[in-house]
Amino acid sequence: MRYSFLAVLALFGWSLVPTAARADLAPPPPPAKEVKFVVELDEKAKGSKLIVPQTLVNPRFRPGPGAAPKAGKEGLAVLEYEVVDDAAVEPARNRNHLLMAGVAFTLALGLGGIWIVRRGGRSAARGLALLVAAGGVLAASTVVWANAGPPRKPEEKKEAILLPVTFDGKLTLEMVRGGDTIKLVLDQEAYDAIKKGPKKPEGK
Amino acid sequence: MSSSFGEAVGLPAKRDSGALLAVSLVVIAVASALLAGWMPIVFSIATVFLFAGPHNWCEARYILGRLPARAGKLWGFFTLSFVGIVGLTAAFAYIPSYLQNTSEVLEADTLYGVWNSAFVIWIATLIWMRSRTNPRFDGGWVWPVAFLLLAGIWLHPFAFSIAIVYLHPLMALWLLDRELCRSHPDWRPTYHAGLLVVPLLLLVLFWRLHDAPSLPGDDPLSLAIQQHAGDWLLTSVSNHFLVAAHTFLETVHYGVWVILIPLIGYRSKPWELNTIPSARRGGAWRTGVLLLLLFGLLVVAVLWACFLMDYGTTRYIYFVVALLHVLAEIPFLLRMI
Repeated sequence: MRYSFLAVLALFGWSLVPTAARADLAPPPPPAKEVKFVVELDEKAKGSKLIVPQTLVNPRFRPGPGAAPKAGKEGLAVLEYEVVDDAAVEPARNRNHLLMAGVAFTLALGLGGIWIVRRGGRSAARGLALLVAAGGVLAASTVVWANAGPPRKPEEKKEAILLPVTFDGKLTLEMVRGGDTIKLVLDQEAYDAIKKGPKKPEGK
Repeated sequence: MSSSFGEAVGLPAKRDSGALLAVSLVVIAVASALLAGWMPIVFSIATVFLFAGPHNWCEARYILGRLPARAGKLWGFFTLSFVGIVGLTAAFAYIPSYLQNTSEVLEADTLYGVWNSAFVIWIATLIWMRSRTNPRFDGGWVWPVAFLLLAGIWLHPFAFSIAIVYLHPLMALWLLDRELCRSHPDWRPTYHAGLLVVPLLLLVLFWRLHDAPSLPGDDPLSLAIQQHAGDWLLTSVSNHFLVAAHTFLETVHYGVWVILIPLIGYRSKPWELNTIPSARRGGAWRTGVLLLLLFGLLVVAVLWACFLMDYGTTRYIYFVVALLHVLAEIPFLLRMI
């Protein structure tokens, strides 16, 4: 009885932190923050690129096998060596896994039922009722959308401000280890375009 | 006749010692949480360097003191335990090298799914065997629960692996409880009250760090520590919290093995062999136990030397091999129930 009370109390405590427990909803985007920023000109570059230190965005990947990058790949950016090693690339989900999970789940329910019935007595009836209730909840959970997002706050209407465009084109996004500064490396074409000055914004 | 090490070092053998034990646990936990939250990577490096080897030795010494001198009717249980401990550790150590082989057939999640399934079936079999020996209990629930876990494993094999990383440190607290149940049952209520500090400190760490900026280190060692804490899987919380929580739990479990269990569970000084049942058989057995403990001390020294030479590689190898002691705790705990 005391343990049941403590368990209920603990559940209530957890329910007080709903902002932190988001179930399987996607986490909100991180808030904006100030970072160091430089623009460099590389006359020999074949294209512009934006270099972002990994720690500023911290992409997280499943670690590859082994302790460290393979020989010869130590100097590569984390994204490069992970992709080359084929370790960070999430493989297509193996459908057999779902099959295995289904079989295991069926066996769990079946063996659980047998165990409860074989125990006999009042506890067996109570256990069977619990099992049926759990089955009912599981069946119902297939039709309810438990992970629907929370209601959205009405967005404030903001007037779109059209700024002059200094450069409009493509660049390469590269993430690297080390450093605390975002670098924008311009090729000659982009640099020349920027030198010409901003274009007036086109009204929509 | 045999006084505990706690008494030998001057701990009072009365009920007050229960409060002393709980206070010690709280002090260890609070200090660990403060350091782990403040500088998680540095503290993780330091705590593994200092305690990884010694806590394994203390654990081996404690287990030797509790194992029976002869297996007797428990021969089957001990054989399955040994086969599982060695086999699962070897398989776990082999998986990374298999995955590095370009001709691999099975993908990582299938391999870890198979390993996790074997692990769960091994534990379920041991619990079932344990339920059929004295003191007996109804073990019929084992298989439904095992298959429920297997379903979870195959839905997300890596989640189970990360769960083991976080749950393993808690086993030391459970084993300490079982030890108290045997040797100082009147200390347990106070100990249980002291245990509440662990979830409370975890909540405090979560409250302070769940949205903290990502940890700054991007060297291979820092990345390995972050990945060990599962930051690649648990992406909705800051990896600062994950590393801090993992380091906190690890340090508490080191504290239990290196300080608390030796003080109350050895029933003698660590170097006295008279409380080790197999050593009491005399002759070659006594020499064997002595050599085993001395070899353990040598391994601790070698581990420290290797940490000083190449911390990153040693840490990686240690955490693969250390699975051996994680697995060894399971049958041992089952015998304590």
